[in-house]
Amino acid sequence: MISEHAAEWLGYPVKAFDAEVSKNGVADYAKTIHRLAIDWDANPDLPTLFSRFLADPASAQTPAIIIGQFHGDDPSLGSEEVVQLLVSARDKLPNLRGIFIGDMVTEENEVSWIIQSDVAPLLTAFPNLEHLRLRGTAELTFGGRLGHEKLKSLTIETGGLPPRLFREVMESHLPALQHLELWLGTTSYGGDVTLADVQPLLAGGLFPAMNHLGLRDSEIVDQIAVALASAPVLARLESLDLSLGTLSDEGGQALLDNPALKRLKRLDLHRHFLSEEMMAALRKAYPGVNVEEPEDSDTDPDDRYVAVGE
Amino acid sequence: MPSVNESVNPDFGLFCNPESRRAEGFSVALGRTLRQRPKLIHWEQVLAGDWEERLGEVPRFLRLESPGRNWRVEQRLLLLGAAIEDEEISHNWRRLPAEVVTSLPDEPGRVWPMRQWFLAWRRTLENLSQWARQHGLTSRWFCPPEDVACMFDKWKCQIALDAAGIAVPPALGLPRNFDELWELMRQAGRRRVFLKPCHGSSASGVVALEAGKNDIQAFSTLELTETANGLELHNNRRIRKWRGAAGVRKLVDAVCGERCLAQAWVPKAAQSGSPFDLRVVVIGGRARHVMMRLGRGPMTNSQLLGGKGDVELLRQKMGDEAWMRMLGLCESAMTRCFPLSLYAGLDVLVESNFRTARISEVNAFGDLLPRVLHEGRDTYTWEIEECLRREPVQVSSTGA
Repeated sequence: MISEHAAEWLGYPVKAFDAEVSKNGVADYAKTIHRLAIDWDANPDLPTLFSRFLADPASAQTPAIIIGQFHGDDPSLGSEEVVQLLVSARDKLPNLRGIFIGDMVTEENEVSWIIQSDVAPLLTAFPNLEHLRLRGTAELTFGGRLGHEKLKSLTIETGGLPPRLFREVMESHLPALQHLELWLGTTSYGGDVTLADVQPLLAGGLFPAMNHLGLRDSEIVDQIAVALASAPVLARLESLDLSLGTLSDEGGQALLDNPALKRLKRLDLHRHFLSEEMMAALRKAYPGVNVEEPEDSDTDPDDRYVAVGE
Repeated sequence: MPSVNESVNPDFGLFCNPESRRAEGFSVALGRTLRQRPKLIHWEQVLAGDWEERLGEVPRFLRLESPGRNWRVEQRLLLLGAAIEDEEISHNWRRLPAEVVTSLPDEPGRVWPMRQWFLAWRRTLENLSQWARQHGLTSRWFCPPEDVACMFDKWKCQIALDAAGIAVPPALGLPRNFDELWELMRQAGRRRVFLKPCHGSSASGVVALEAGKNDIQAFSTLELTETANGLELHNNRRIRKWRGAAGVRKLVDAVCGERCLAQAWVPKAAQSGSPFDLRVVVIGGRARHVMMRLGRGPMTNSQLLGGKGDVELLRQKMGDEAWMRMLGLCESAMTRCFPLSLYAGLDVLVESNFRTARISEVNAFGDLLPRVLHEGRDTYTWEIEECLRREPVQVSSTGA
């Protein structure tokens, strides 16, 4: 369950730009990221809100933008309109480096029901974009042409990542990509990515600039942990994030036995099913490892569930 | 306990189930504040019809307490309700005939026909109201029986609040089954709704329903059990998810028989990972006690053991202006809709923007908030003080 909106992103504080705020405008476009979201009763609508946001010439300073609830009370509406609005505003947002579409909480819509669209036009319209973050993968596609010279981080948050989308990312051209974060989710919600799908990523031939890899919210995280044992990709990583999934002592032991993890600057395993003993052993081996938010390690393997399951 | 002078005729009369925590809580507060005990008038006696001769001198103040959590009272109400004709008879809200009610076992968690129960509860309140009018006692109520009856009808209450300009989650209507609900949702352009039994309390029977592009699901504490005598409804402490049209339809069809209000699902704000709502107790026109109830899913209710949130943290997050506006909303709801009621417990939704709030329910007996204090005093103590302030009279107190 996702229960809170982003409070900060890319090192900036996030503030809502909604119906009420938009009446008065905002003071600080340059040092604050604004989240544009329409109310559940869809008043005013998103184009109105967006035009109010752009009405102040200072909006040209906007470093990044977050789009929250874009569909009012009807979760069957997708993000096409959001993509169109952003694309048509490209000349008014010359400093835009980050786009996050879908910052919604479960109370607003189930993550598995957030309907995205073809977001490739964004990448074309913003050649200087550095950060792209998307929540919800229903109907999400890059149109088979995911390519961008400057994109540094790509984050896809979902309760179930469709294998076709995972493959689109694997087949992309992102030479500057440093930070790759994919939530794999659960098979109950279409998260059918298998270890075989993940192997090319671990083999290290993809994303030459990548130094952070997040495979989060995953049901196959134990298998991934085992497969990491001889993974060439580790030679390049500074940071590894396997949080929010069903990591148990099986995966924990594999991580413990993996000397290549010693050189990581950051290892995030929080929200897991590790035992107390394994948590202690991991802390000893990797000081600074995040093993917070333990779930009950005695949970039957079939009953372990990911943090965001739908 | 302070010493109590039994010879003094009590100033406070309490219509209640005497064994209840509510009766005890109020008695303790009264003992501490005025060194008195209330006169307890048992709902069982009221329903048996022999309470007036037992009453003796009528106390100066009359307070209505919940008739709930007592099977004998529950059964009597259901029995009485079986004989009352429903003005909404064409809606076919679920009923049980008297002969079946008589043989019912006490089954905690089982959902009995709520409309039938309400018809009897409303009749009981009407009788008390009439009795008070006949004897010139109408000013003695903490909260008049008519107000209590209105609060026990969520549909009527919603209409009253809305008409008074109080922000509420928009209502869609009273669907009789899944198909009617679906049509109401289509007309209103809503894909996410709450179904709330109009006469239920706490989370009993509540269903949260949402329809996505290709999927539909619902959350509820209800369990449906097929028996030889038909479908039985039981409440659980666990919230269960119903996924897919067949299951959701069955659930909705079943719960709609209890007369449910369909309300838009307003996205709630969250704290420490849990969506929450607020219980705000308004006493003497002022919003006083605030309890923050965390939920683990769409349902927020203290009985579901989601725990309590940090009110001060919320106040900071909302900012003083939004916080005061929220409290003002609660106060307006009471002064505009229930000016004669000394108190009520309001359920308040803070929207996910942390600024705007809506009143989702008004609870006549929503003041049972153990260990929640406002300026050092619990709800009962405030009610006693405000009651005396509202009508300053000489009250006997052995402590004075």
